[in-house]
Amino acid sequence: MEITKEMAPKEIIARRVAKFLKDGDFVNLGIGLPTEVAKYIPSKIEVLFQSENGMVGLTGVDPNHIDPDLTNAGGQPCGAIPGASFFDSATSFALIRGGHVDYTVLGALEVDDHGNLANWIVPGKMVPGMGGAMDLVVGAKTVIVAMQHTQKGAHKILKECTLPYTALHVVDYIVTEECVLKQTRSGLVLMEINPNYTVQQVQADTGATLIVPKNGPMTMKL
Amino acid sequence: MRNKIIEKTDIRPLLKDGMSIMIGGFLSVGSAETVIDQVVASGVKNLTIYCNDGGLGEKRNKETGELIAGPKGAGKLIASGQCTTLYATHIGLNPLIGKKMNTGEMKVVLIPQGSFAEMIRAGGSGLGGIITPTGVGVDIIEQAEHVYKKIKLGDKKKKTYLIEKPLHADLTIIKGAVVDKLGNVYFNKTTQNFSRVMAYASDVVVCEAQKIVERGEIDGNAIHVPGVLVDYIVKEEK
Repeated sequence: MEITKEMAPKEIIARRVAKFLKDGDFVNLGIGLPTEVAKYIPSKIEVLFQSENGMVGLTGVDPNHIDPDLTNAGGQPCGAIPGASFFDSATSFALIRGGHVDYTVLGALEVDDHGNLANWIVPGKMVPGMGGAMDLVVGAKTVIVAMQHTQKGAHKILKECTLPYTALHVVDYIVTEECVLKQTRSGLVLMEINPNYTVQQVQADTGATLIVPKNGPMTMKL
Repeated sequence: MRNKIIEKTDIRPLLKDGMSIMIGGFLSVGSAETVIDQVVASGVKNLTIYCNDGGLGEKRNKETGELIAGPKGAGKLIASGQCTTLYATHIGLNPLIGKKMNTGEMKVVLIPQGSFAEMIRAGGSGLGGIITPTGVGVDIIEQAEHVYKKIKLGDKKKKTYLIEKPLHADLTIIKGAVVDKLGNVYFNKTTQNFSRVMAYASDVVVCEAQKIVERGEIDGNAIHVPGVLVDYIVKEEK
């Protein structure tokens, strides 16, 4: 699918993240934008979603069958697929920290070109707590940051994070409405670009120097 | 075998000022509301609470200020002011905690959820601590009082870990969907969360039961918490 100019940034991001996923992948989606990814999984593949409060097989809630004993990691009623399994928090994080989760998708306040992530605290403001985020990014095989490229124009992708870290050297990909970035040892590589942006525009919106492949980035498709 | 089933008010003698209590539940899902109400009614003070999140705060109509729902789970002990120290992973859904932190009424220690579960598991399993990569490079975690030290481990490629303390409490309060008279517990769906590990990690365990059954009525293969861990059973009141 081509990206249109009318498409909302969040939809572009969620659709592009969904393209990473393959049949049989085991995935944890963060609250907010990352949750939207589930909407765009092609029907021909099956992805298993984890909810870190203790289940594999998370799905959307059936409003006619709300079960108070069946909730997601935000404490909201959810659904369970046939074959879903339930377990305690220690087991849930053994799945996470033990490297059994293929992808974790989460938002960020800041990321930098060392793969460092800051997404849990703004000093001086209300501290909600890290919940499972620190374990998820340390443990999942692939960490995808799904977020809008800037915060109302302010850079979120930086040379060095300024906010307290969630974890060091953990981010593998950053997916924004402008591009897909891959973290490498040398820095952030501009893998794909939304055709409605130029490389110069994306670079201007980024606080770190991007590595542009010799033949240029590929066109971002959904 | 002694009878483990007690009246809800019979838990009062177990409660003391300054004690530590682990409370199962995840955003109050799976929390033992009937027993927690008794802790509130007892008026015991200066409690240290271990809970994933500090429960839910009261809900009010934004325009009229009318009360829609009271606090839930550990949130009841936050609202009552009985909890003065809270160990949790997330407090964003109970704004009262943030306020009490700012006024100094409460001390809050935030721990990554996976580390918290494992520290409780260690505390209940006779282990001296846990060794985890989570929190490495995060100043607030590395400097926390629950972290013993940072260490590099590995036979060939060394990796950095934190050694963290096991957690143990005076009392654990959990809720099971079905509990038999021997104290064996079966949880329903996502109510299992922290309750299973907390059942091991305190001196005394009170389990609220949605349903109490005779021994043998829960298939032994389906028991989540062996009854030897449960000291008292209280029937849930709706």
